[in-house]
Amino acid sequence: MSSSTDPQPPAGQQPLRIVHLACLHCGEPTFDEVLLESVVRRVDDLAADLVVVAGDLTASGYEWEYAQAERWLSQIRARKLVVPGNHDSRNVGYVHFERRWGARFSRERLAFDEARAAALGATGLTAVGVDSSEPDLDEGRVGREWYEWIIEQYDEPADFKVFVLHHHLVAIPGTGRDLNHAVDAGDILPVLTRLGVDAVLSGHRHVPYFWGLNGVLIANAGTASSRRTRGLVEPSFNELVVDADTIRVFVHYPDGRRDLAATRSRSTRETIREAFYLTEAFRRSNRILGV
Amino acid sequence: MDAPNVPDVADVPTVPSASDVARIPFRIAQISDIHCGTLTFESRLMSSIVERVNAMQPDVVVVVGDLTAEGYEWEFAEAAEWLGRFEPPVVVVPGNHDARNIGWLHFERYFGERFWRRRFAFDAVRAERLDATGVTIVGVDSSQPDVNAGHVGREWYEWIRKSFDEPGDLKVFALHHHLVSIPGTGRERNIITDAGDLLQVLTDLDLDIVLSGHKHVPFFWGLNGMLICNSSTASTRRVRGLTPPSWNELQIDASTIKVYVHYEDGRRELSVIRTRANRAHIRESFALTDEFRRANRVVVD
Repeated sequence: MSSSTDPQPPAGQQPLRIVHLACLHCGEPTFDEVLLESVVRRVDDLAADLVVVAGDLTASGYEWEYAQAERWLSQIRARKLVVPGNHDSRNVGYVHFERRWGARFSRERLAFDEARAAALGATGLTAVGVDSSEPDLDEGRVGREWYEWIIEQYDEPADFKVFVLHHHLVAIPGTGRDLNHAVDAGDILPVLTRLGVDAVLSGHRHVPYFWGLNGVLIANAGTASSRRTRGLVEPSFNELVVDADTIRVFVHYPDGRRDLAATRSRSTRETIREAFYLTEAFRRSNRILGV
Repeated sequence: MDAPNVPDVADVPTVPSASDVARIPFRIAQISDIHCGTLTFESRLMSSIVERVNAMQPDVVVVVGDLTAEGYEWEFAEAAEWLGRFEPPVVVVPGNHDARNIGWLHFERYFGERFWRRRFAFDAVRAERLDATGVTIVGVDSSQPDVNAGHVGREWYEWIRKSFDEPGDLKVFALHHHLVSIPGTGRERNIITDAGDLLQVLTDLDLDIVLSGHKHVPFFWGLNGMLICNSSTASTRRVRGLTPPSWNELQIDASTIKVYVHYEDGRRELSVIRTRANRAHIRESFALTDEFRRANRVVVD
């Protein structure tokens, strides 16, 4: 059962709720079935608008691991956006991913009705997911051949914009040495900041953490259902609650706690842009991406 | 080899002289990747930078590494000769090229400590006008001999925290390698390997500015309200794609931090602005809760 204590807003004006899970690792020796059962139950109770699974459903990309992950995730009734992680691509596991979850690069759009659009200050939700894995490599990579496609997916300028990938784009504290960053993070980050993406959802490092980069909320999820944790950090998953004024991230822990972890205000987003911006002159003088 | 299109400094009207700018804003010239000894080093570019910086009279020149090509003593001697021509105070950290061939030994002999703290205290008038008691700059060596990736190391975090001991100062951190990936520089292979941990240390300190180089492309990020300021190569043709050589001028007043990029043809362009006045506002608009920190002891203090 959800431990949500939010007051209930009038019908039609519910906040946008996105659940952000990663690193289930079905098939791992430390995969914790009891924990995933409770996660699935809690997520289903949250009745989120969208459940994002940011990769590493499996341990080694085997079909039986995928089957197990699907059995669990199918118990969540909400709409889902699933991307593969480096573990899922091992042993050519991306073939199983495509058979069970469809395209590795995908887009989910949710249009808001008039009342909700007015209440949330957005016409809907556009979530774009990409495959940042390469079979048998641990590091991430999106690749320049996808940037144009990504830009085209965000064709609703007034939507709340979410980008999903498995690997991290900015280093995550407390995860040891940074050896498997998305290798084109430098090029993909300005694509996202220029699009005015509101939130980037990633996983991979098994540590929840949050950065504010040029006004973009970068949210990383912990491991949802394995004991592959680091140092003193517990397994967890994230719940994003978006209302007219703020994006709030709640982190859910195995003992049922649901703690507010990070807030980014939406109403001051313009102020943030004003408070940090690159000039056109700079862009002209340094054609960094050649465009 | 000299570039054909570099005008004489005297012809360049866009560089303000010391007298043009009231001595109130705090100004930093940020220069990196000079690479004395590299094939494409241009002495003409370097002498134009020296003249322009001396005309501008910033409070400090911060050189964020890669003074040499291979860490050889003669390259250090050449770099020291160039840096000796700057009239304002100069502070220097080494880069990965400087540590090659055990070049850090020469670095220490020519430039002193590889980890240092330098403080500029403001007088009462300037403190009031700039809303700060002074500027603390902490420089670290992020290089390791013969490794191109950066590394600061957990054994330095406590020293870094202690070095920022003036809470009312503007806080500047200088290092050679980048902490957040820089666009247009190819694939990420040599980010600081402990960037995640170090970024948390720096954002917790409410740092104002990070100065870095290494990638030969100027770029700027705002991370949790902190300005991350990368400089290009100042005096070589080791550029990437369409970006020209350049160096940065930071100008800090009570309400903003502005960065101007200086190009070889004499242009001086405002490139990025971070407001200081609504810094608190920015913090408010992005905040990690104490609960989160308690529940996830990500970096154990």
